[in-house]
Amino acid sequence: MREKIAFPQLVGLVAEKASTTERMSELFLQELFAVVTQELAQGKSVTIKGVGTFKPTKDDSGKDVVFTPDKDLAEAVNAPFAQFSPVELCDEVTDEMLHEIDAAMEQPQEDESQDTESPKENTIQSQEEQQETVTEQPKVQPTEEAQTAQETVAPISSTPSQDEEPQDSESRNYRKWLIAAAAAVTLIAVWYFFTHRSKDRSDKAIETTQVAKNDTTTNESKPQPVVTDTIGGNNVLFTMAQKHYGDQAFWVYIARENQAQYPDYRKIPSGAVLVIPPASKYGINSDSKQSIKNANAEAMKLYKEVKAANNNQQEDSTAITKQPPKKPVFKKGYKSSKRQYHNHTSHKKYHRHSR
Amino acid sequence: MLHKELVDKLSKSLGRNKSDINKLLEALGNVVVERCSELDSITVPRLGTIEAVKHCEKVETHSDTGKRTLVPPRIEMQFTTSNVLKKRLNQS
Repeated sequence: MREKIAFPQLVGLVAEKASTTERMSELFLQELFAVVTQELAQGKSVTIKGVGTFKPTKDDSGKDVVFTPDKDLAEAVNAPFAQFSPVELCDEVTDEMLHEIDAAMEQPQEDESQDTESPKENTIQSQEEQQETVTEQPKVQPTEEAQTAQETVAPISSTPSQDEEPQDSESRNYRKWLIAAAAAVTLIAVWYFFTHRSKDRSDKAIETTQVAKNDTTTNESKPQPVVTDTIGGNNVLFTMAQKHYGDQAFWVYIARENQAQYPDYRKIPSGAVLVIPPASKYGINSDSKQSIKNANAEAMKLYKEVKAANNNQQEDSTAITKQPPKKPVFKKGYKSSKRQYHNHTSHKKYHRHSR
Repeated sequence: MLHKELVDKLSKSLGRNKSDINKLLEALGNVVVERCSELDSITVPRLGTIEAVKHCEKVETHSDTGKRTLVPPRIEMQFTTSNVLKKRLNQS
């Protein structure tokens, strides 16, 4: 990122790409740039396919060179932003709202970084929260029996250590019966708690798939629910990647996951429901520079694939309408200059006479 | 000078096939694309520096109508001419 590549490094990269020696690459690049500077000094423009056009210009400050990037280069570099287009904002959208969106985009990153720092604490917290929710619910609608049982159990359980030993046999029997009844009621209460607890869990899993995704560390054995998101409005691949993975660079994995349904990620219709793959499937980690780099490389690969597929489609459509050539066409030199053409024919005649 | 003429000239001066020169030029193009996608800059001695500059998204307001447009981010390719080439250009 924002690295300065000097000439020796460029030589190495080109040699690696062209699978040739560094010596050959160095000679080639030296010669190429010498030719380019020479042509520019003579006031001529130079076009290098895949890079762009260097054109000398003249203004008040003196002569300078203007560089126009090749169309392919400009497209490839801007591939991550290819799906965006300028959007006219409504009057209802204020600057404050835009700032809020920016802040919301930044928040998930902070939250996730906190998650990664202390996963154990989180799991403990989530367990505690679950227990709280479980214990809170029965308090709302417990049966009268359970309430009375709890009230009666509390003083009895504390009695053996504090109270004096019972002297009468009647009181002993009474106490035994009371303990047995309390134990039975507590068993019923416990059964009631556990049945509602399991219900709560299942309801929670259905309501918030996102929460279930975050708590994978706590229940790894359970199958992960499929996370989906709908495209449209401001919710595009970039924002989805930011929301689910914490970095926009991972949009390519969402596009890959849904490639079977939507082969061209630039033409996904609004309202389409996309499957968000789990982060572990593609090794997504927003804190890792390597992971982001891999995502960018994957984006480049996807862009090339989509472009090649589009080109093939175009070729197929033109091949049907294309007619076979009727006459052979002369090469550029022969067509433009009659003199050369005659020279060429006379050359042939000369050979015939010589035979 | 067009690409084809450049290939001819380089193949003559280096004594190599045109296919080899095309392969090397293609490799150069790929390297430029890859490095500029990561916002790196490539410095060529006596020629200049090719760099990718990222422009963040912004809200533009039309001066006449007052309509606001959210312009998406983009990466622009820029070239800075070296002082050596500037001097050479101004001398000629």
